[in-house]
Parts: sequence; C-alpha cells; structure tokens
Amino acid sequence: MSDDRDPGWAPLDPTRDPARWEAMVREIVDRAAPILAGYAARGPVDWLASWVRPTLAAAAIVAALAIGTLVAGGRGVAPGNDAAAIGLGDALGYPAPVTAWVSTGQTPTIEELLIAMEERNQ
Amino acid sequence: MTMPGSDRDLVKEALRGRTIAFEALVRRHLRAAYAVALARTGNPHDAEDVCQDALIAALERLSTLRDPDRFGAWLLEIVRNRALNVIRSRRVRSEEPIEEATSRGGGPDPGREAERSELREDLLDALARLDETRREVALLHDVEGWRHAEIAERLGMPEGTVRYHLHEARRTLRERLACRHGKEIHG
Repeated sequence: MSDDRDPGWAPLDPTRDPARWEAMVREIVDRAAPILAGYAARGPVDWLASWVRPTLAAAAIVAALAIGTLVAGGRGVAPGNDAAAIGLGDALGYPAPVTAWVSTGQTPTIEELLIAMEERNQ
Repeated sequence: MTMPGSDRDLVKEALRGRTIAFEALVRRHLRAAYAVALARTGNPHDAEDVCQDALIAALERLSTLRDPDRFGAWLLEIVRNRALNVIRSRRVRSEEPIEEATSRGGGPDPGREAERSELREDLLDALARLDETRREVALLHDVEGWRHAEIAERLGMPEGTVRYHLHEARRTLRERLACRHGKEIHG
C-alpha cells in the first residue's frame, strides 16, 4: 500500500472555518438552554418522581406475574390432585368443602353451600 | 472553571442543568458526529442540521442513557438515525442528489471561495460513490483524526477491515479526482 496516504479530505474538515464551527457550537448550546434550565429547576420531588414512575411500573409487573402464577396454579390443579388443591385452598383461606368441590369438579347443591357457609361463620 | 474529564461526569452535570458541562460534551463529540452525519447525508448543510438536532435530542433524552461513559457511541447512533430521516425526507421531496454540494457565498475572496467550493464539491462527489461504511471510516480517520482501533471499536468491526475500507475509500477518491481533473484538461 505504497500510495495509501490521505488523499486530501481536508476541505471537508468543518473546523477549517473556525468562526463557522464556533457559531455551530453556540447555536447548539443556545438551543439547549431551555432544556438545561428545566433540568436545573428540577427539585427533589421531580427527582423522586423520576424514580417513582419506573418503580411503580416494576411493582405492577411483579404483581401481574404473581397473580398470573396464582391463577395458573389454581387452574393447573387436576381433578384428583387433592393435596395440591387443598394446599392452595388452605393458603387462600377457603373452607375445606369448597376446595373439595374445586378439586373434584363437583357442583355443590344449595344445601351443601348453606352448610359450608354455616361452618365458615362458626 | 474546568469541568471534570469523563463523559460520565459531564452527563451527570448536564442533567443538573449545567451549561458548561453540556458545552464540553458538544465540543468533545461534535466533530465525530459531523463526520458521521456527512458520511451518511453527503451534504455539509444537512450534516450540520443533523448534528444540531441529534445533540438537542440527546440532551432531551439524557436521563435515559444507561451508561453515561458511552455517551459518544449513543450520540452517534442518534446521528445515524437522524441522518437516515433526512435522507428519507429528501427522497420524498425529490430534492437535490446527495453529491450536489452547495457553496456559501459572501466570503472575503470570492475567487478563492469558488475554488475551495469546487474542491469540496469534487470530494463530496467522490464520497457519494462510496458506501456508507467507507464514508464513515474515511471521514473519521482522515478528517476527524481517529485511530484505526478507535474506529474499529466504535463501528464494531476488526481493525483490519477498517484499514481495508480506508484504503478503498482513498483509492476511490484519488481515481475520482484524477478522472475529473483529466476531463477538465482534455475538455
């Protein structure tokens, strides 16, 4: 590469015209002034708000995932899988007969429902 | 007053609204931004507009920059996107072709200005014949003064590839200029 030298891009160098280059810098800084003023005027509340928003968003995602997991866990209990169903029912505070109906897929009669409600009220 | 040296410090200070910090960032990165913008748009006026808009956009979004040490790389991405928008809108409006440079009149010596403008036009014409990567490599190296390794890191390519692109860019330019001057001599 004997002839691999800079062929002379220099005329494209914007700093060859220092006044013009400086004007460009000044124009950018001038345009930035209102934005910088906004940053400077930010108080502690604004800084807190800038943290609160993403934190709330993260909390919402965690909550959605948790609810989804609970719902999926409840649906995933196959009839006959009593241990899991009862465990979940217990965790959620459902009366024992209710978890039994869920695990067996049985529809309770009105009488059974009344008995279950009475048991819960005792 | 002097500003802290790293981009991280300057970004932090700019986010507190300190003009001097933002100006330091502008002065540090504007040349590279201009080189990339010129490489993409092929037009000095568009390159200036792209740089200005990109730096203002960068300032507006500064709080979203996750790694302030990478401000330069982040800015160049914004520059590339802005340049792309300019090229698209230019196509839509069917404006002047990429190699058509416009000269600014009103200089102290009109004859010299015209000569300089003509030379710049030749260079821009040669630039237009390169692909975007070669334009970027050539301008960052020959105009901005970056080293091969810096360009390789910033553009995400091996150093040897950078050298190859630079070599090809220079060869194309020389051929283009020789062809143009030859025509003038014989024409």
